[in-house]
Amino acid sequence: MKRQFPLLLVFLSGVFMVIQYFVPAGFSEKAYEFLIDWTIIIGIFALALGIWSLVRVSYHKIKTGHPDAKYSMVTLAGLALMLFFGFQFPGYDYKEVYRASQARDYIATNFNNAGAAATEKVFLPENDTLSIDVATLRAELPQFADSVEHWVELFQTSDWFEGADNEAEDLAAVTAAAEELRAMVAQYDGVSRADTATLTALGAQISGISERGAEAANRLDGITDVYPFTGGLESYMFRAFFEHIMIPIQATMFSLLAFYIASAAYRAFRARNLLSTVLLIAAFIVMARVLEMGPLTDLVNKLSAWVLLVPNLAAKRAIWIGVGLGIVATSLKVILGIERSYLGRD
Amino acid sequence: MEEVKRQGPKNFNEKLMSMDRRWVFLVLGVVVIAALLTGIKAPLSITQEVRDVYNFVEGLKEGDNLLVAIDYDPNAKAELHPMAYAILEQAMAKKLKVITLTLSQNGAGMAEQVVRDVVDSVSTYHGFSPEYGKDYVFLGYRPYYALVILGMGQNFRIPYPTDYYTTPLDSLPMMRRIQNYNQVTGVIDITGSNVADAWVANANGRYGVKVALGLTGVSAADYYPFYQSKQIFGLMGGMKGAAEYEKLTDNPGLAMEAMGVQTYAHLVIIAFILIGNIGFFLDKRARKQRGEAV
Repeated sequence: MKRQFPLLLVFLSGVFMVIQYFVPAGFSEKAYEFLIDWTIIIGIFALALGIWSLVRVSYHKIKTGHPDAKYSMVTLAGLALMLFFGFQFPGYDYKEVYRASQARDYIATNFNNAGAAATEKVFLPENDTLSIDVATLRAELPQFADSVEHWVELFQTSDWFEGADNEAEDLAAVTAAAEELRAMVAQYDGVSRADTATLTALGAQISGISERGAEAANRLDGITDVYPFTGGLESYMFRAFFEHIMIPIQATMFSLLAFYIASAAYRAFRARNLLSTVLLIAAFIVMARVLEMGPLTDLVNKLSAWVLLVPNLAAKRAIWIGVGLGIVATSLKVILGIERSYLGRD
Repeated sequence: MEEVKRQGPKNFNEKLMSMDRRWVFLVLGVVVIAALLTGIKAPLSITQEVRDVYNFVEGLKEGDNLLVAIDYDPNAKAELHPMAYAILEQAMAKKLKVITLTLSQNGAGMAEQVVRDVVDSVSTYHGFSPEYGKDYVFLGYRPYYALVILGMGQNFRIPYPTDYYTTPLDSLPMMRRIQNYNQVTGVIDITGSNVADAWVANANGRYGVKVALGLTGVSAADYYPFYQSKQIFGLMGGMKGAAEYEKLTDNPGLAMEAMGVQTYAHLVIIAFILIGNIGFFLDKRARKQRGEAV
């Protein structure tokens, strides 16, 4: 019974899901929806099991003084800290605080962008795609000011702002800077791109205004100053751990691939026989599509597209069909009780 | 003594063939850093599969619903972040209603950052401030991607009763009009993992919604069969795909900047492959001349 019941359950579920797929009736869809909920519930148990397993294995390594115990300590500490920092304590409106801190960030960003546009972009070479002309800058300055005012309004209307001290002065400074920014538009009247001396002077003026505005915006407090350690997804520490530890670690691991691929390509791509020569040529063509090859560029691009869309596609399609048939065969074996390894050995 | 001599590189040819991998790493590292510092740019040609994605988004009307799935972990950030930025900026500037979400466990914080940055950029440079809930939403992360994709086919509220900020979906004006994929004109999935398979098989296969993919360079080749069979309407592969999209949207960013670096990295790899093969052929010739088996 211990083995027969799971086998029967798998058989019935499997056959039902196969039939359900081809029955477009309402009850069939409802049943499908219902069963998907079950899968999510099972998944949650799997997650709990995974965490328990991780804790158990790590704890065991630490307890027995395993040579890798130090890594287990870091793992457990990371797990505990992220749980703590990510925990949302009740009775606190994180959404409002989030909006306030978002508004503060956007105000500062707008000022910084205005300063950068006025001091840097107008002087980039003509053929540079990032360059903007004086007319564009004139049009952009009021947009920066509008955007600042929009975020100031949002900041002021957030619940969190009402309870904060010393913010009114900084907000007034922010609004004043935005107005000054708007007023600077008139200064550009009659100034051409060639008049670099005037543009430099105006750029410096805008840069000064923007700096003052951004500084005032940065003085506006956010959630990080209220609850530095906890606060759910918006917790300063939760985000800092993610942004300054998780992202660089993962990016580094992936970046190392480039070095290993270079080394592996150097060792593996040898024209030893006909097939390896074909592989070598194909690799050259695909790699060369990012290179400027003068009159050959178009040919290389076409060849590269052909390699990807014809031989590569044929091989991939064969693999996919093989995988698909394999999945069908394995699924049938599981449904019919021929493949029973998922039941374990007991 | 004789035995020891045989183990090490004996002559120039063998040295060319079995260079210490640390030399490869060093040269590649130096070239990448030099290219980054000098800001060398690379010319770009646009491929049809990338143009198809651009044309699709460009062809949508104001108010159409577009779903952009930011399904990657930080490890694929360098390649896929620029794609996400370029597509979202194009979509928001066109005043499409954009639904964003992530099915990648470590992607939620990063995806939210992308959305925030793009909203800021659109507010600043396009004279239009997208409003949360009205013009765009961020649904956040849910586990078990295949189930989430299938669930959204029934109703977005099954996997996502609330958005990332725990707001009930029906409290967001734009989501009141969206029940399932029937109200979504297209899905663009940006991913470095096999979440793409689930989007193709479930969202397109089962529910018939149009799907395009933005993929890492290493996985792009795997998905060309879906492009040819029109199961996906477009495909962007790696840094080059991202750079092409930036060029098409006239929104130069990190990908276009990094293409110069990638070009020189490829040249280094090609140079090392050539060196290895020169050594191989010189060694083959020398062996032939000595009458040894080749």
